[in-house]
Amino acid sequence: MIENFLAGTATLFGDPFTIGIFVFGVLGGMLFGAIPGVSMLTLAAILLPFTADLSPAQGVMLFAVIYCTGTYGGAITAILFNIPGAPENAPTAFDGYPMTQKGMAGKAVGAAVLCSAIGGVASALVMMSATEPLAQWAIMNIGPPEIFALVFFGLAVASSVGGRTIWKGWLSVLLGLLIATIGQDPVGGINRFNFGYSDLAAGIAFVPAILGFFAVSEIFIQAEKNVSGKYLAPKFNVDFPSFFELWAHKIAVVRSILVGFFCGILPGIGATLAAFMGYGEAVRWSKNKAEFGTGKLEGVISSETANNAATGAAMIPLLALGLPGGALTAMMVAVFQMHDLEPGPLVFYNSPELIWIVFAAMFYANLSILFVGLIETKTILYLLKIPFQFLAPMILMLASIGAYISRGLVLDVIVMFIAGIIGFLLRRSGYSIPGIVLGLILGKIGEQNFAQGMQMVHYDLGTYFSRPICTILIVAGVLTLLKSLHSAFFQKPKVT
Amino acid sequence: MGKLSRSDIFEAIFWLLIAVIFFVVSFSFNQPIEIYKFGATGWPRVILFLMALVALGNFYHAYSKGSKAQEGRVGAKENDEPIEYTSIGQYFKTGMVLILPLLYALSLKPVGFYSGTPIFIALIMIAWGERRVRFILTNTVLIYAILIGLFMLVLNAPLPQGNMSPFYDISAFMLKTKTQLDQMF
Amino acid sequence: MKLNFKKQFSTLALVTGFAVSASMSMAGECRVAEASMDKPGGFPDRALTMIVPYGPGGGSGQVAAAMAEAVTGLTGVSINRDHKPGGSGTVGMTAYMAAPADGYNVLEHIDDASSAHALDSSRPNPAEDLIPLVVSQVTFSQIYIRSNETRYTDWPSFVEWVQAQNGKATIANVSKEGSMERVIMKFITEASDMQIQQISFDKGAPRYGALLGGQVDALFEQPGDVRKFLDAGNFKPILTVFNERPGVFSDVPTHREMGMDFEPLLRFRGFYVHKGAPSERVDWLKWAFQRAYCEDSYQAFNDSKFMNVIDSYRDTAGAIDMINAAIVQYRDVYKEMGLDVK
Repeated sequence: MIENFLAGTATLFGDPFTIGIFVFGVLGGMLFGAIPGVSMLTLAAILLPFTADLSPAQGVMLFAVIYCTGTYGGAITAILFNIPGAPENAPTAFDGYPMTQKGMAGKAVGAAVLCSAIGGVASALVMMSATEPLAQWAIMNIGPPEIFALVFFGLAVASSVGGRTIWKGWLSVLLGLLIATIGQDPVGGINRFNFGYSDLAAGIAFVPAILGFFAVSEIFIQAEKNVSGKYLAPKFNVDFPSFFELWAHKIAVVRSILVGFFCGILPGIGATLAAFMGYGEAVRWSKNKAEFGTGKLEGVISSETANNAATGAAMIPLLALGLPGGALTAMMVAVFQMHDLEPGPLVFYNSPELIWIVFAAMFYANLSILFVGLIETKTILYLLKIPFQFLAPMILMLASIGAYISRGLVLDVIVMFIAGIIGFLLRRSGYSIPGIVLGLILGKIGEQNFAQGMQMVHYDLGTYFSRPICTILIVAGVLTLLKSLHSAFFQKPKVT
Repeated sequence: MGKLSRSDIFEAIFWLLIAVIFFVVSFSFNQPIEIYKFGATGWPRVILFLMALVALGNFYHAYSKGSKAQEGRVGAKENDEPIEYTSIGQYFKTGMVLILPLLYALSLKPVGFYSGTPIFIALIMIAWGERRVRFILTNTVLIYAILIGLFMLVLNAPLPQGNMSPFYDISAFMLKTKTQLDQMF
Repeated sequence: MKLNFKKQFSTLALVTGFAVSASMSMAGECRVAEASMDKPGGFPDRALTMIVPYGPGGGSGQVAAAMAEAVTGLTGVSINRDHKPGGSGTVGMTAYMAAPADGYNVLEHIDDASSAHALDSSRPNPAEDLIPLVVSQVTFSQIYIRSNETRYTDWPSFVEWVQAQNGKATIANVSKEGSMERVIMKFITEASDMQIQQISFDKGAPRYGALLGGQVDALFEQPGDVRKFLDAGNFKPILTVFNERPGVFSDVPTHREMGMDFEPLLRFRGFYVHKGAPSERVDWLKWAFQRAYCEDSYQAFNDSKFMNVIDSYRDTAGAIDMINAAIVQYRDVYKEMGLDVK
């Protein structure tokens, strides 16, 4: 492993053009992650056609680097504007944004920098040692029935997070699942729920949904305050956390690395679930549960460590099974395909050098978050000084372009603004926006694999449950649902 | 009425309506698929059934326990001081904030990005309470210039050109100018 | 429902038969003589926009990229590819039909446009509502198994094994009713009297992974898409759905040799422009795309995709013939299948 890593490092830094791409990826990911309205996804979508001119290793490496630094960058907008750059940054906003409102933006961003770097580096190390054996095992043992079971388990866990009550958490996920059925069905290509609008045959993509639910709805909420004269500009501050403040949370960091890595392996949910679980575990183990959500440093630390810890883990299902863990890894699949490669176990046989360049690049990208991030962050904080009247239309325009670019459909811009309005209305009623987005992302994967699994076992549940991995995951999912159901009926409301 | 609020009743109706409407619409594509027993409607109908069931559970919960957050819920937030609406004008202003961007999105197909964007930027600033003419003009130009510079000139991103005259011709003119600029450098 | 294959497709047999003989004599020669052509009235004075109704990674995305590169290399005019995936190509087609017919907008599309029109005549007919500039890829389908498969090793033993499974054998295929792939599978199963469960995958990677990992027993695909698995020795073809054995696959029997008497449906990808575009611009575009087909970069691409195994080239007239024949063929098939042909 060490030799491979060193060989990857040598190739990565042995060629000035490759170094240039690496640096571009690091800076681009951070910058696009940190500008509200666009995200690493926008940059990735715009760059996608250009990767055809790169070598396969350079193309995939660029996207992997953007993934690492963009996941960190998305925390910046979550903290400063309550606009998570990607769903995996959503829990960061729970405490990060209140910290900004209290004038502690610098501390929150500083913690995000450090924890993203630690989580990411740790994850890259595990990824390097675990991906290859896992890949070989997975191709023989994971088929559509197992993937459906994974999705089922992931949804069961995810629906218990984010809503004001478990009922609202479930409704949010179900809404996402329903939205995912719009467009063509995955077996016969039959148009569903297009209400006479032919473009809907393309289905609802998750990029505009993410932008609409997270970015646009937040802008609407701020705008509402603005027109009613209640808008308070966030306080500017560049005080970084001290070493001792961070050291006090070392256990939270380790816990989040573990949680992040294990969640990250789940295809389709990866980093998002990781961030929620990391945050959730921090709350569960804390003595001062009530302080979470009011601007507690530990909240930012646990969520940001976990989501970057998941970046490395998410590469495992991608490389091992060809299963993307989220929006950006899904675009990585396209980069592979443009170079006539399929992510999957074969890559390990056919192009091991590519894998190790990517691994090395991810390791160094996470490391560079620490150095570049600290410098960049001080500049980024000045975003807070931009007046809302300028920032808001800018964000909306960037989001419009971001939504349009990935599929070239005006439909996506329309969907984004409708999602923005729905998000604006739903947020105040205690529904879980990340739950909807998760349902949307996992719904398509889930239905497709359910159908394939059923066709494979000839609709015979006996055969289905004769596959041990399937059985374990389905049982785990059912137990999670039962536990949620129990709490739905017997858990008391919060005393406030 | 238990602990129900008006919003709880509204929400229950909303979810049940969605379930019923989508269920009815699902008959329009209820054709069999030769190689798949559950067809195109099986999966969405299960979701709709669960949605109706959970909506009833949600309603029962609100009826018996109110709509406060449950203990141990992660990431759930109570309302941060809700904004009180006192006049029709206020509703109108918020309505404009929500509707304007949607109108812009709907105009993208015929009008395109290049012509529609500056108008929209200015309108949105006005809708959001900005009244200083110079501020609106300079910032509209500034934002538009940044967008064109970054996405059209540097990144060469394919943006909607519109398909109606004269908007399409304006887009064509801008792209032609870009080609000439490219050839100069 | 039993299809009567024999009475069908005499016209298409002529067209494909001609194509094969043409490929033998013309391969390697460029069929556009003029190496350059004056721009009519300065057209084009800016980048062309090429609408591609599929994502950048798949077969269409790749051929669009290769053709755009070749046209730019030949003429210096750049081409922005605008991918509008979704709805099996219908979304991109709708967007293209709404774009101004000034010659600056061109379209990439595949045979799905023809079969969509065959099923529903309100959809654009690529031979009448559009002008084909060039068809640059024509290919056939095959059935693949794992190279290390021991339960069966060739087509006869495969059929025998499938028949013994009582409908429990599986084959990975695409996920669209009425598509070329599903129609051919219907022909094959009925002609060879076997029942096999088709598993629908809308994306390539999981479809190939399923065969590789033993989740399915066989795979239906075109050779260019699985070339790397063939080169790596993972897959091997056991049946070619074409009227004669192409040179590269000379040891694989064709469906006709295996007693299946139906006219093969082909996959073809080409480039189009609006019917209403100014004619001198259309002429220039025809020249540019047909000549770009001969560029070394494009030929190298087609070689890498097994696209020179049979003749991949059709000029405007050839493309119109091929599309018309395909529409007639699909319409007959759909009627026989009991689909609602509009």
